[in-house]
Amino acid sequence: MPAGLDNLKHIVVLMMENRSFDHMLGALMAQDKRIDGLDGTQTNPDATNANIPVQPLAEYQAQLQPDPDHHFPGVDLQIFGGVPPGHGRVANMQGFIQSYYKQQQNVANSHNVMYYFTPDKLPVITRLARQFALFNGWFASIPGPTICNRAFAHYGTSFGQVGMDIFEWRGPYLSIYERVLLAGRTAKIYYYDGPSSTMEIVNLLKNQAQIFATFDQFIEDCKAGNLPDYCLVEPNYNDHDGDGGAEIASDQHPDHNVQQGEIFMSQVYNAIFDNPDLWRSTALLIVYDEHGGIYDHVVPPDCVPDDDTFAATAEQTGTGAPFAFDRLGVRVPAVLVSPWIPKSVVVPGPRQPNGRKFDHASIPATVMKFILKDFDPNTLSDDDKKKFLGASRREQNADTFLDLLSDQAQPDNTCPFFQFS
Amino acid sequence: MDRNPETVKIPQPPREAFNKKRPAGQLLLAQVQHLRHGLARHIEKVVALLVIDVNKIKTEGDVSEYSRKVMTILHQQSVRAGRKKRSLYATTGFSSGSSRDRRSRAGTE
Repeated sequence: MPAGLDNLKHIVVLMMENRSFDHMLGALMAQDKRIDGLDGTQTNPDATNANIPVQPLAEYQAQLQPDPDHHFPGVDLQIFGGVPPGHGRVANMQGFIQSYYKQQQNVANSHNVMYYFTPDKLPVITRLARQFALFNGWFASIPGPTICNRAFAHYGTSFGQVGMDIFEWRGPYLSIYERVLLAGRTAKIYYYDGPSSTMEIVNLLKNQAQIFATFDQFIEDCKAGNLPDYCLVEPNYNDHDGDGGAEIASDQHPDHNVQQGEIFMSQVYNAIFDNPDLWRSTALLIVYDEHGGIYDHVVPPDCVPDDDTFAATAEQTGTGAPFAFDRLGVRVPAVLVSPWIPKSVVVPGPRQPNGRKFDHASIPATVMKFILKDFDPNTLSDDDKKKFLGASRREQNADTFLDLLSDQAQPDNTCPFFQFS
Repeated sequence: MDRNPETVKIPQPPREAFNKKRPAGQLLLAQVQHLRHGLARHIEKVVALLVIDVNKIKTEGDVSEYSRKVMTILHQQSVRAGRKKRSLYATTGFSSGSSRDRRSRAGTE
């Protein structure tokens, strides 16, 4: 077993909000041709039938107003260029401007979904992507919005949900936190604070409040070396007053300030790096829940359908056709951070040789692999063993990422430490 | 042990990035519905909160206030921790967030 995996004691996932791969990391292709990003030739037609190219004009805030549509019907339009289900349609990623135009009928504003960031504007995610591992092929789990996509990270499935509606967990699959606890290990969801709360309220917070803690506690746990075996960190979801002053939303969901999200990412990274023992025993995944209606050029691949009982009806999808959870959502930024990852790893995407595809079900799949590294489920009762090993079809077939940990660690003096300027 | 990482400077957002009067987006309005649903198991404690008309919640400040009240019931730790946190690293530069930054810098010297 590589030393990086042998040393691994903690997996941390930071899930940000609503930005596409091309929007945040697409410009990096100019630095490294292995990165499946932008070369300026990618376009989308607008309402005047002009082909509008991608441009490096993304701003931190006040540009994506209104919030681009990222619900199932809107994403369907974005992916299939406005051709409705059936009709022999082919995904072409040509409907982003069309989708945004529908919201406001403003031709100029509709072009904004084609804008992307230059690397100098995103020093944190850019540096982490270039220092550690960048995924060319991490996709949202479904072509839809936040709650159901985050469900794949928590449960390995959204139980047939494609929207934001409240749904009560009816099984059969436990959340990854509950499965980790069954193995006698530790797991937490760290939400930012009370005013921000968590996005997993109805089932996990309601019934498993003990697995929750605040970001304060995450910082303390990093300092003390008490991080759980697995945890998911949530950013601040809204602007609010804190005891120490104004708390700016850090999730990067439009129209929240992207710089504040960079700061939050740096705080999570710094907290881990600052503790040398923790740094050498932790893998940090920074990933986004979905693309937020913002352009990406890579057609989402098909995937193994989720359990048969988890299909969404035509009424639920809003497109006039059911959805069998047999294709992924739009590509999102994903970076894996660990000193045991060689510098500048680029994990090939499904369009490339030896290509791989990941989605949020890869998270519980990877955590299970990590736990099973030194836990024998036969020590559990039959009932608990069934619960522990129960996983959705999507999760069972999801790729995992611990193979990226190697035998050699990058020296500390080549790794970054972020400071406010 | 002196680890000597490479320092990377990151800018802070401008003051005007903060706007708790910003209209809450669909995600936050959906979160409010989920928060309300989550209150149900604490029914005896929460009648006073349930009578709040959530349809009158419009801005991010409104959402955060509602969330603050609900979370005191759903998760007590959020209340205790909130009082501890802000002096550590509120990140806007408007407050004492820089104390966290100074400690971070000290950690690498």
